[in-house]
Amino acid sequence: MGKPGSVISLQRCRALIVKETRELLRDPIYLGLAFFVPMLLLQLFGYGLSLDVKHLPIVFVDPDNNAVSRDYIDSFTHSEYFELVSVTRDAAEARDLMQRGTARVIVELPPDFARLLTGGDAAEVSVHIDGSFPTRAEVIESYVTTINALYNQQALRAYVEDFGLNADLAMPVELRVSIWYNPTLESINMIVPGLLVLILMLFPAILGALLIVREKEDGTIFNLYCSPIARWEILAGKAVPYIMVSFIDFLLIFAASILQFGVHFVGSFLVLASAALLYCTCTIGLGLLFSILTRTQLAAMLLTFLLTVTPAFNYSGFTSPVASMDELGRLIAHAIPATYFMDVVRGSYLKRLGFEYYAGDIIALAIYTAAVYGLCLAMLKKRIG
Amino acid sequence: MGDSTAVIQVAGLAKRYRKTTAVKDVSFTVEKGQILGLIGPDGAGKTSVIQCLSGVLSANQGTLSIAGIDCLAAPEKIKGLIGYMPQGLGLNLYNSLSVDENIQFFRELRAIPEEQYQRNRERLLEMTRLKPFLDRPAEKLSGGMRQKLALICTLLHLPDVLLLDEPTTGVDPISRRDFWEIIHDIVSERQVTVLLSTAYLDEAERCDSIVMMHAGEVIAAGTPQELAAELDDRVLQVSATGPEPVLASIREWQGLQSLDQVGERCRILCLPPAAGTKPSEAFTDYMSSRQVSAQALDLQPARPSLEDVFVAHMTASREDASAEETPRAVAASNRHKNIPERESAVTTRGISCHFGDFKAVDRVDLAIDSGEIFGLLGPNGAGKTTLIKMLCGLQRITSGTARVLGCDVLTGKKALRHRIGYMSQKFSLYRDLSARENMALYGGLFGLANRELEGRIGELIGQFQLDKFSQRRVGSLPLGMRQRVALACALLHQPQLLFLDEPTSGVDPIARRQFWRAIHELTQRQGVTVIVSTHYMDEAEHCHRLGFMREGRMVVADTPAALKAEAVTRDGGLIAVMTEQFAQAFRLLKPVFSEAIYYGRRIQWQSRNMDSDRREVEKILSGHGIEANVEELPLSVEEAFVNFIEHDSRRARVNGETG
Repeated sequence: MGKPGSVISLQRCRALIVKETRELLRDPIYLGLAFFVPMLLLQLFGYGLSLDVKHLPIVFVDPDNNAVSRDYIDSFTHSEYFELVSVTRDAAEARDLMQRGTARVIVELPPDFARLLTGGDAAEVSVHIDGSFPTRAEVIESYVTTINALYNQQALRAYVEDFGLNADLAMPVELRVSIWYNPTLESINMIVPGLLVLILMLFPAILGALLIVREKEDGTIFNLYCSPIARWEILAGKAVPYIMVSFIDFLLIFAASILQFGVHFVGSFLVLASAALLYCTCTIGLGLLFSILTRTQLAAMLLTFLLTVTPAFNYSGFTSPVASMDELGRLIAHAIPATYFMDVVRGSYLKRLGFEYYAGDIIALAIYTAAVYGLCLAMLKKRIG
Repeated sequence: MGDSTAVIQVAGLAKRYRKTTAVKDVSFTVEKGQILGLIGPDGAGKTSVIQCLSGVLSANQGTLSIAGIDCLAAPEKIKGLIGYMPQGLGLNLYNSLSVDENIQFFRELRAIPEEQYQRNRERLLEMTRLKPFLDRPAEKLSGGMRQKLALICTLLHLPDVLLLDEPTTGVDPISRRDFWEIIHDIVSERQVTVLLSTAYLDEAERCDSIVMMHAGEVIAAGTPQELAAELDDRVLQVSATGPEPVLASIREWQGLQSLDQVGERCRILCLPPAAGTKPSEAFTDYMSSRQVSAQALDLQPARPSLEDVFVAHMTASREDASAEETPRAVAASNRHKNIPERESAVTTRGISCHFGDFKAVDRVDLAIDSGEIFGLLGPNGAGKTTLIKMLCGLQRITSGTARVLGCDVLTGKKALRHRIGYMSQKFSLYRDLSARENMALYGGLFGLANRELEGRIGELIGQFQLDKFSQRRVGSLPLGMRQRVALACALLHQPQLLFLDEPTSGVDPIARRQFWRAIHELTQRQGVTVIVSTHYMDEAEHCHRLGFMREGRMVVADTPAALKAEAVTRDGGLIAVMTEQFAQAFRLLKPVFSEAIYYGRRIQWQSRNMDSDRREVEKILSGHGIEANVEELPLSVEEAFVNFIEHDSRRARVNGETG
């Protein structure tokens, strides 16, 4: 029996690392869970989860049906925002289309639309929007308002010209909007980096969660419990290979985000990669913690899913900014590691900033990671009862 | 026992899990270089004791120490000293890793120095004959091989203390013999202290001393010889082939503590006799008062076994000699059927089942009469399960024909299913349903309904005395009871052929006796044919005939007595050397008698020249001043089995057959 010196400790650790790696490489399910499923998820969510609202099905009720009313309708259908479903004279038919979900918005023109306009009177156009999906309804409303305002502007200009006045009529206040970081406002630039955060939360945690509990189910855990291996050696031996796996996942997702999804990356890769390594270490640790606390793989998986992905999806700032959450939401946001990594990821992709801008996030992640492993060490007992 | 040499000490150990008490007030010590057997049925508390000692389980009361170190206060300090093997076939192995990789893992885990590692590894691989399989993944090893690999991994770091939890459960006799050889080898060479648990009472006779447990308590302790000596003169054997009233008379005898029918013989355990009387005389007197002579009964004294010890202690502690419940008359369920004439229940002609190049079953000819109990024995992977599946019509037949209950298994599959019952080792019952609900479910699956189903359930509940338990959830029933429920489920649709897969492993001897009694009744009164597949030699002894299988082939099929006789004719009777200095004696005898093995403290082998060997042994041992007792012993089924299988594999090697 050797003294538990540092060299020997490393040997024990290595034994576990080699064993874990071999098991991973030979088990198609684990291998799939480690590499294939994360990439699949990236594809499904990357393409499916666009938050851009375009090509909205629109119906017009136009009893007037002449050049003036058609001109008004064209001003909508010429944009990429709306897709014309039909133009009808019958309001009931339009309502029916809306009810069946074929149309999301109805624009109803009055029967004397042309007469009113040419006569210099105001025409009342009623707009009905499907409000079952509030964000979409808001977007529709603003599109309709904007297009209508543009039409008014043109109509006004034509009206003034008719009176032989100068057509270079200027509006009193004109806005010049420039959008930073994501000038085309494409949601893909925000979603794919966000997915990086979520996927690197879910899969390392699930893999980590299976690591110890699987040996408990198989009975092999007694090899570790009944040998002189130290508890930190168990943790390190289990975590290291899977941190590597998670980091490879990071590299794969990063490559796909740029090569496949065409997301712009302007920040420092070194900063992002080091934060990712820290984050993977942290999420593997979370998984290990659940693995230590449970007895079956099923329980470990459920617990992991409940306590990692769900809060990360809702509170990390993936869908809506942390700043706009209520107090409880902000509290939860700061209690999960995904929020800090989200800052670094979104920043690194879109902004050209130095390390110092992320120092706070990275320190928070480091503290979080240390706490997770500390808790693991405290909860891991080399006994069954 | 001097405290100075006690390596393992357990005093007043108690362990409770929430509501249940697993262990109460258990005390024992194990001396350096001793093998102590912790024996008892499942649920006796054996595992808890071993886990407390290995430092992975806390105790509620008591003290435990290994080599003077307190296992409860300083568990980490003992972990370098011990080798612990958990219960289950090779449960400490990593399935996707190869044999070699598993060994490497344990080497690094235990930080074993290179030289020691190489030496040890070679030797252990040699002894276990696993060397040709170094690259095979652990999941592709047979049960026996897994267990041997598990033992290598446990022994690799040369532990001073071995804690083995049911290391031989489910292991075939050949692997089991290898296993014991390794244990005896390391014990005699390195004075390793061994604590092992087992549910096989016959196996415990191989230990130096025994602690017998039941329901968390120690019921008996001592050396096997001491324990057996308590029952001197109290175990008798009579023929069981006599007419029914004779057996009934025996059951009515006041001096009877327990009766067990094994094949053609009956074992009688007598109550402790009054001072100065011999139970055998009292029994002869009683039987002659019933007009049965000792000659007609073929009355003979029998060596008390550990099973007798267990039964004696258990029934004595119940203070009720007739506690052994008698299954009630089965006649009630007889009215449905005429008992068929002795005809063939199963006939196969050269049936084979190939999986690619692998011959799982290879040209098996078999004829089993109805009403017969037929045992299938063989190492894991010998083809027992595949053969049974083929007979049930669940496995395609590559070639040959099989007729079961008069139907061809291929064309008559559907009809057959209603006439066959199956009970597996794990008793495939739904744990959250009550016994009655389980029975209703199984009955429903076989198309029984309403009054017929209720009637059958009522009959079986009566027959197996399940009245008190029929409303309890199966999960909360003791194992022996669960086994009876499983048997009742398998019998609901009144099958004429019943398959049993290791039906009584882990069940306590009393429950096992009741179980076999029920089986005998079924075969005798209803002509049901029973096919048992097992590793359990006790179960084998209950069969009318046994078939030994190896590598897909039926090596031989005959009655236990004929098989034993044939093994004796081929390789001679069993010579047994019993001596205090057994380790020294073994070292002296092994070079001369290469077949010699340890069986507990006794050294034994099959000898063709009994008399000259006996003289030779006496000469060698007395030359070294060793006093020994040399005897000829009857062969057990296990020894006969090993003899046949080894003979067959030798023949296969000579003929140059592969595998």
